[in-house]
Parts: sequence; structure tokens; C-alpha cells
Amino acid sequence: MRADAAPHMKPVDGDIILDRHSSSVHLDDESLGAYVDGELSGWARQAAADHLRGCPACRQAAEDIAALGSAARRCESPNWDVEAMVALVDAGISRPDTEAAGMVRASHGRIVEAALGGSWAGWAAGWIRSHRRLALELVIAAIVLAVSALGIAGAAYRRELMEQDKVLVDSHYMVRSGNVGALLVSYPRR
Amino acid sequence: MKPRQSVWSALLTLLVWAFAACLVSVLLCAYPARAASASAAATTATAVSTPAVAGLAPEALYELSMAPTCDYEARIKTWNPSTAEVWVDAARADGITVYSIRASGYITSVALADGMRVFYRTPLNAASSGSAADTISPPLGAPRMQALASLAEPLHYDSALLSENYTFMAGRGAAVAGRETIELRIEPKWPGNVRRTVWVDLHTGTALRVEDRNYRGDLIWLWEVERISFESSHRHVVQAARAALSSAEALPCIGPRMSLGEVSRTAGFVVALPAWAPEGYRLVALRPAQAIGDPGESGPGRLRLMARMAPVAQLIYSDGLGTITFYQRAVPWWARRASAPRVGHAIEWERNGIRYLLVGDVDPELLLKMARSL
Repeated sequence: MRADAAPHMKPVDGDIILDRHSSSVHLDDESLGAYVDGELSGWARQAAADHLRGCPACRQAAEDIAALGSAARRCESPNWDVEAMVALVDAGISRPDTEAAGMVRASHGRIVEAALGGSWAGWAAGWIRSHRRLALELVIAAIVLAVSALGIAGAAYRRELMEQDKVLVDSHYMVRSGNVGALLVSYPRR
Repeated sequence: MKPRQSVWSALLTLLVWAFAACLVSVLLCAYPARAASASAAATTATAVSTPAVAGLAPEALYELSMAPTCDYEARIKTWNPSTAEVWVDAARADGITVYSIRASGYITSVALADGMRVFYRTPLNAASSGSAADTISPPLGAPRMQALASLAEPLHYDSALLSENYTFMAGRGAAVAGRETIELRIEPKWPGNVRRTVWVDLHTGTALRVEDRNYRGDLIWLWEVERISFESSHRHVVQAARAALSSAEALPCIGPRMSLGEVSRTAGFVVALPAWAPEGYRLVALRPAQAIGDPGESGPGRLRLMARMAPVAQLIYSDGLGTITFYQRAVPWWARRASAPRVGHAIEWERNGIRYLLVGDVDPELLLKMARSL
């Protein structure tokens, strides 16, 4: 609708306004919307304002349209509070599933703290409780490191065993060169 | 000519020929003694003047060759698949036998006498003056030192076990180190076992060449005299040996006898015996293996040192000549890898955290059967 266009007045016997009013001329919804949104100017705005002052039905309709527009504007630009949402997720993760489980954890924590007597280990236990995910990742990393270290050490040890085998084979030739004479003792026959 | 005269003439001719044949036979049968006497007469300047081997049975001759009684000085070449060729100086006087190797400014020696042995070394420049020797730990590692250490277990044999499993044959042999020999062949009664040939000096009974061959005829051990002298000008060599033998470092050639339980306790695990061994072989020695690691030796790493210091049980089987050595040692749980025995001259396998190594001179199939009987 043009800003200087006259509000669309419809006669009482008109088709459109029969459902709202039956005895006078009223502003249609489009004109009301334009008025509410401030899109009318000049004499059109003045005419609409004059009519609204004298017509409670149109005034009510204009207020409804204004309320609807405000709600629609809120929907178009939602205000996401990301930090608050992250905080909610974190709270959900650390929240005990049940109250009983929470009691058990609290009990264990107290026992550990009592046993550790506030030492660095106690600090570590507290840190682990508050950084469960990181602690889990560290434990997995430690296990992987330990398994790798054992594999490397085992391979090195086995290489040495192979070297030793050669020495032992040499030792056999030493024994047989000496003809085992000095070693011969009378063991029972199998 | 009358017929009667012809008959007498023929009989006389026959008699002469028969006498000649008998004379030749007697000469041939008595050859060794005659040859020895002739040789002794030719070498009156040496200590040997009478044949030592005349009339000896092959077994007795072999026994004499393995434990000679005469004094000598010799240059000996030894060979085995592990050390390859190694030359050793040998001397014997006053019942003391000395084997020496020259290396790094020293003469490293092992002296043997009365069932005792000792390793010692003498500076090269002091060797002729007979200065006091430094006793040392048994030299091990380098092939030459290893060959010397092998001589610390002197040539000897169990005559009963040997006779049980081998037959002896003697015949004329080729000259060795310029000396006449008798060739002794010691053949196994059981197939797959070792055979030995010894060339024995005709005049002294000293073994001049000994070679062992496996079931395929491959050489597995050689001992050969390249030069030998029976003069008594080498007594200075045994002076240092006598001093070393009287030191606290001298040890009995025969180690302490250990039972299976004692060896198991020393090794730290239960040592197992195979249920089967090749024909003729029996367990003759059971001991913790030495010479694998030296506590004072600095290894390249702790792991290496750990492996080297792990106790090893050594079981030695013999048929009097051939040898089968069976090693067992525990493997830490983090280095275990189970495996099955496979045919070879050295069979290694691993089961239940124990590593086994079986090395022998016999047919590899027999060795595999022995391994599988564990």
C-alpha cells in the first residue's frame, strides 16, 4: 500500500466488514496494519487516526495487530544466550543420575579425602572429580603409552634373546670341543 | 737228470720259496715296531727313544692319544663352526699342560694339571724371563679366547660310554707335521651320530690330528698339530703356569655336581628333561650355564644386561663322542612369544614362558624328535 494512499473505507453494507461491524464504515485490516506500522503519512494517517478516535472496534483491531506484530518481531530475531546454554549442558553432565548415586560419590569423595589427608593426592582426587572427562582421556593415554612401552621393551628383550642364542650355540661348540670330558659324571640312564 | 733228483730239486725250491714268504709276512706284521725302532734310532737326540704304540689295541691307543704322557711343545690349529680357525701354542712338562694365545701385548694362557685349571696372562716381553703371571677370569667372548676356554675342558673321554656306542679301527695314516702316524677311525654304531678320526704319532702316542664329522660327513671340529717338538727346552713355559696353578684362582676342571632340583632352584624355574634322546646319548652334565653375562660388564642398556644376566640351565647329553646341549631359561611375561620347535642344527622354541635351545651334532630330525619329546 502506498504511504499517502487513503485508508480503504468500506460501506456498512459492504462485503468485507460485515463480519466485524454491521452499522458503520471501518478501516480494513491492511489499512490498520499500515497505520500501526507507521507506513501511512499525511492526510491518510490523519484520517485513520480520526476514525480510530471515534471507532472503538477499529481501535481494538489496531491494538491486536500491534500486539501480533510485536510478537512476530520477537520471533524473527531470537536472542540466543549461548553461554547460558553451555552452562546448562555442563550442569546436565555433572548432575548425578540419582540422588543415591550422588550420595555414594560424595561418600567416596569424603573417604578419599580423609585417606589422603589433604595432600597433593587429595588435590589430585578433587581435580579428577571436577575434570572427569579429561581424567578419563589421560588414563586412556597412559594405558596406550604403557602398552606401547611394553611392546618396545619386549621387542628389545627378544632381540637380546636372539643374540644370546648365538652365544649359547657357541658355548655348545666350546663344550663339544672340550669333548665334555671334564664334565662327564655318571647320571642314571633314562 | 733222474726223476728222483728232479723231485728233490722241486721240493728244495718250494721250501726256499715258503721260507721267503714266511719271512716277508713276519716283516710286514711287525712293521710298526720295526718302523718305530728305526725312527727312534734316528731321533736319539730327542726324549723319545722307544715306540709307545707297539702292540696297543685301538681302544688303548685312543686312550693314550687323548692323554699323552710325554713332554712336548707344539703349534696347534683348532677349528669349529663357531670360532673358525684359531692357532694355539701348547706345551707340556712335569705333568702341566699349557695352552697359550698371543694377543694385545700379552700371552693369555690356560694351565691344566691334576684336575685343576687356571687362566692367566703374562706380558709378552716378560715371557722369556718367566716372570710372575697375573691370574684372570676365564677369557670369553672373542673367538680366539673362546677357543682357548674350550681347551680348559681337556680332551678326555668316558671309555665305557664310548665303547658302548662306537667301534674302533686302526690302520696306517698319512704323515702329520712330518711325523708318521697311525690312523684311528671311531665309527658310530647308531646312524646319525658323529664319527671321529685320530692320527696318532707312531712314536709317542700323541694325537697329531683329530677331526670330527657329522652324520653327513661335514667337518664339525678339527685339532691339528702344525709343528711339534719333543725336546725339553720349553720348561720355562710351565714355570708361570705352576705359579698360577698354586694361586687361589685355580679351579677344579669338574664343577660341582648338581641335581635337577638344585639347577631348577638356581635357574628360578622347573628345569624339564626331554622324554627321548637319540640312541646312545645320555645326560652327562647338568649345570647353570656360565659365560652368558658378566656382572661387572657394562652393557649398552639395562634390558640387554637383564637378558644377559638371566639364569640359563644347561643340560649336556653325550654318547661318548657327540654332544647335544640343551639350554633353558625363563622369559619375562612382557617379552614372551610362544613358538614351536622346527628342524635345524640349533632348534629354539618357547612355551609357557620358558625359552628352549637345543644344539647338537646329530641328524636334525633326531634333534627335532628330542625337542618334541619335552
